[in-house]
Amino acid sequence: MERRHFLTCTAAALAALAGRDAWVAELLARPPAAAGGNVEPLTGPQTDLLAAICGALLPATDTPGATAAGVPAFIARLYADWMLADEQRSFRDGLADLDAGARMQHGAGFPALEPSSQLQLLEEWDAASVAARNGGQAPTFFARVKTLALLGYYTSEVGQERELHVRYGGGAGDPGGPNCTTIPMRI
Amino acid sequence: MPKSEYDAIVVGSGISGGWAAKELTGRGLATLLLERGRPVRHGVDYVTEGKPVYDFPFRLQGDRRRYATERPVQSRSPFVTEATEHFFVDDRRNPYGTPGDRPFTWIRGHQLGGRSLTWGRQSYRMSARNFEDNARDGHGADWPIRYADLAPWYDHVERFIGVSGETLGNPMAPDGVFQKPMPMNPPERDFAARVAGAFPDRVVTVARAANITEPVGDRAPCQMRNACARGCSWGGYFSTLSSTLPAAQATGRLTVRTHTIVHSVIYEGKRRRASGVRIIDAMTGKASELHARVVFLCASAFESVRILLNSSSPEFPDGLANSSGTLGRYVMDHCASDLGFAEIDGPPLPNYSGARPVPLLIPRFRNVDDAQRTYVRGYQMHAGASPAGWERGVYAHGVGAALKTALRDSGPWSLFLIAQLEMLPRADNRVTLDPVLRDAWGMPALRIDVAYGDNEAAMRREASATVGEMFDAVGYRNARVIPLQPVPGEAVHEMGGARMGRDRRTSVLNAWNQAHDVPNLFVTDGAAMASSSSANPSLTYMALSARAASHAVELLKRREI
Repeated sequence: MERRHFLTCTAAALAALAGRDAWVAELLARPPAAAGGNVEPLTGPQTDLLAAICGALLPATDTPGATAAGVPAFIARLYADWMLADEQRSFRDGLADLDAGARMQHGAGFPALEPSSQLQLLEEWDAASVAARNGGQAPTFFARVKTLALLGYYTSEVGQERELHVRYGGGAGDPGGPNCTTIPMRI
Repeated sequence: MPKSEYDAIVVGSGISGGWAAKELTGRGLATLLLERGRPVRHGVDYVTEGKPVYDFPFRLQGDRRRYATERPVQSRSPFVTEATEHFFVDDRRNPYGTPGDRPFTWIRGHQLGGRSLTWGRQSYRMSARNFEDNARDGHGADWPIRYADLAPWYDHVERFIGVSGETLGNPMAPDGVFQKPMPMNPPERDFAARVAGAFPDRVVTVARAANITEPVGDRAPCQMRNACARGCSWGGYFSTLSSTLPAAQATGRLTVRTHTIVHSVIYEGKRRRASGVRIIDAMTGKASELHARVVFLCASAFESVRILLNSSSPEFPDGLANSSGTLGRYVMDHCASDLGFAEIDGPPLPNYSGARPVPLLIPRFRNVDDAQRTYVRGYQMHAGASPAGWERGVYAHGVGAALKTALRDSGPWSLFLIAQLEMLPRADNRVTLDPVLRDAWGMPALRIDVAYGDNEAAMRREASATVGEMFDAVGYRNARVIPLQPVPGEAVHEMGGARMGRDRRTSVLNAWNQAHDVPNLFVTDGAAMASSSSANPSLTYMALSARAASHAVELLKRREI
């Protein structure tokens, strides 16, 4: 199930990459107004919440986790310098919703919860995200955070060198290789 | 007549211009190579080469907030990232128009080496059938050459640049001078065997690639870093900078001038000759002229046509060399089918960065005999297999330590399959000078009016169905075909607009890429194409450029131009 689901979603992501909607000439002569950004920086509590979620999502095990890999700072950089203005708004709203959910269920913010409670919440949010995706609904905010955290972790030096032990050369000398080139993933 | 400072001027330093410069200098001509963009030094200026992903601030997702204003078109290519963006144009300074309902994605690179730095490197000969199809079915003008005319020039080019590939004996994918092919992985070999068993008319081979597997001069074989578009200081793939430019420079007869935009070709009506080009200094905006005995336009298909359209004169009010009225018409690209994915078995692999930089090829198998379909021409297919990386976690269920454990090793294998379709040449598909829009240097921008037609639609339906049918026939059960909505230009194979032909009343160029109307003017890039075939076209541009350059030198020697 998990494999098939991955396949489906990978294909959907590639289709989204390759599928093109209508394209108007004016766009070329006139920069879109969508850029902007930085309308409001993340607050201290929002930053703490983000860091706690990342830390619990990809914890230190026999290898360093998201915190040591600098994932919260990476996502904060995406927020500050990469997200468009409407995405920044959605991101702040999403953090507020997760915070409210934690407080409603456990009476305290996510960062203050015991690890077991944090993991329980993450599992609930993750299950809801998978259900939404399987139901053809819009991606949840948690799914977005998870995507950003995975990107931040596995493309970090820790992720590449210590977790994945990435080897160079595409597997050309491996009896099972080489990998074939693919379209790079865009989140 | 102004005294010529050079024997030849070559406009554009990409795949075609580099070849023209190499051949012209190699045959004794003092040649001026003009490039509108900045200089790029081989190796030294590949500033992102070898940088690990974690050294990029957005981890190769692209600086999208900046791209939204600077590169709204270029960034539609998934290959435009922080690692490669400097090899793609600033869309604000290089606008073009399209009708609102007929989008076109025009991907460009303005620098020394042009798009030879970022191209896909698949290198195929057009087949004998491809050169005959226009005459056979009546679409487009008959090519004035046949495969046999170009075959020795394909040989010449392949020997020089190095092309890896497998000899097939397949008439739709003529064999060439090949280095050893790049390897397939075990699931790809399994796919090839299954296809061979189920479809006697189809062969699966690894793409023929200008990624070398054996040394060429001081160029080292491809290291499978799969980061070609950053530039490769090994010279593992052919580019102007790794290959033709150093050869041209070694003759001592080449002058390179960057930041030099060609505004128009200077035409001397009395002599019926081009005497040079009007240029704009890209840095200062200063206009001036340069002169030569022969002019080669190799600025890319649409840019070469733009220069000709902008070169109007009393003799040629609708653009230079346009007595036929076909200049700017019959432009083409390729067209993608829907995209198939199948889950397949494969061995566990360590996590690798890099990859074989080209996919697999299935040469055209439709409409090659007398059994005709509901469409004319055909398509080739591409495939490739890889195990899933950590990215599968985006779609997987799981959190915490269990998620880390699940993603530590590479995941299940999948194989993609997609077709690349030939696009018919149609007069309605054309580029013109936009009446209003100007680029940053005041030159009229292009208006690109191109759409896929009924033949592409019919072929697309059949090809997309074939993707699914092939998965079924080879026994891949967990397969899906994902609908795509291809937009012209996305293949980055735009071509045509100054087509070759036998008849000066219906074509711009003759059998030697020489303008019917202006004997010392040659156009040897994609603009010359009279049909698109389904093959990736760059190798053909190289062969046409080399052949035309050789001919031009002969004509100069005989004082016929």
